[in-house]
Amino acid sequence: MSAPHAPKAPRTLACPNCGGTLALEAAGLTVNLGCRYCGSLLDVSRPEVELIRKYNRARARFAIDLGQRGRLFGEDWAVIGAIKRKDQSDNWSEYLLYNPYVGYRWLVEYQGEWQFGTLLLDLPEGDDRAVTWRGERYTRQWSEQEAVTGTVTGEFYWRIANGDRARCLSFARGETVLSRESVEDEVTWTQLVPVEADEVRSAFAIDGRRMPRKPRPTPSSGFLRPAGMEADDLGPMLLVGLAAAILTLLVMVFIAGPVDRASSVIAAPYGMTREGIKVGSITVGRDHQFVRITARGREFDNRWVDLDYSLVDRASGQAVTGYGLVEHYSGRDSDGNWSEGNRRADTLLGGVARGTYDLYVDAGAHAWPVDLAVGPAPGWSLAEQIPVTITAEAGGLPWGNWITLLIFLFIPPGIIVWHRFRNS
Amino acid sequence: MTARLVLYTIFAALLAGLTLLSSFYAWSPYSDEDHHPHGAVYVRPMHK
Repeated sequence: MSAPHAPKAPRTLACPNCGGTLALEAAGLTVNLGCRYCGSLLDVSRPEVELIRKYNRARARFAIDLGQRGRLFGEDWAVIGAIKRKDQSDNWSEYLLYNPYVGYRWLVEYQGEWQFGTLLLDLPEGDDRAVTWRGERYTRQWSEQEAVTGTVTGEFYWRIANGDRARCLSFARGETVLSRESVEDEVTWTQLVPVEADEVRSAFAIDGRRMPRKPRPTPSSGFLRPAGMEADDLGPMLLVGLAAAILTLLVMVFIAGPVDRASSVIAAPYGMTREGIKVGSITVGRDHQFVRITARGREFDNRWVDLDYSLVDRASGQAVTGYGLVEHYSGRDSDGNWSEGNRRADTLLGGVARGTYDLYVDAGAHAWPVDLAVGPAPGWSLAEQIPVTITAEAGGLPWGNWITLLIFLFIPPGIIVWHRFRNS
Repeated sequence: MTARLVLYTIFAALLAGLTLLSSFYAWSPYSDEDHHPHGAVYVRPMHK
């Protein structure tokens, strides 16, 4: 249908039902004509006009009048037909455009958004999930819908009637949509590209009051609309997320409270646990603060040190307890040298109430793979101890909370990026 | 400003508020303190 046709002079005819004068723009190509005055369907494929279905209804309201001419995509078009269609949830308008030198095109209007349609002669290949057309992949947008033809007015190159049904499936790649319509065994494909509403309005000189408007956005509509159809708010969204993360971090630093620190080197004995080693005292200056205890072992290998912390409130004798483990192992196997473990351990104690605290540690070192209880490990002596530097700090930041915030903040824009990447 | 951006801004503000509230009360799902069913532990031997 997009191939050029030999231009024929438009002719006029009278509606056999209402007597209205109708212009035939694509004489010789038009099969059906819907009377713009009474809505009756006429067969104009033969010289004598035949009344297919008689209607006496008010003139249908369309944004663009039949016969209106306009220039889109560098070509002049005449609007020769218009139909209203609907599926289970939506209704929209389709305008048939005609240029005797270029052929037919479609202009589709849905909720104030416009698309320019070209019937495809080279058909896409694929299945119901995705198709490939001209080397590019298009993925399905929605489940298959049944479109029902409503009001029909103007001339059409095929037999059309109110109540016609077609199964529709659309595939998208960015802003371009390939629409597949099936009627019984006949399948047609149309490429739809977006056109700005203002461009359509100025091209066809549409009265502003008749121009379809976009519906007011509902809270969910922005998320449900397909990629490419929504305003591009990804950049502002990332900025909002980044600003929220940075501001939160700054306020977190502010409310973390005064910092107090105590540090000491303890010696973890091998094969036994040394209890109640005092590290130092710290003061928690706010009603609730985090206390971070960091343990750093010196150079050691194939050993681990268990550290049981007790942060004891001087006033009440109550303790907040926690556990730390420094460990490091290495060896050689068929894959070569390996090592694992960490000589540093961070322990975060939360909800520590205001007060002065003494930090005590129970520390015990062990060897791998054999502890002294089983047999002496190579290179060990009973006198060996592992020095571990313990640092307690009140007013530390809960980095885990902030990183969790960061992840949640970037999930929505991440989904949008992924969605666009998948469709591009 | 799109409806989606408005919703996202509200979502970000709520998340930031929750994070700040948890920081204010020094609560974290990642903290390592032991939770004793009958309250805090008394450790008398250490008060020497």
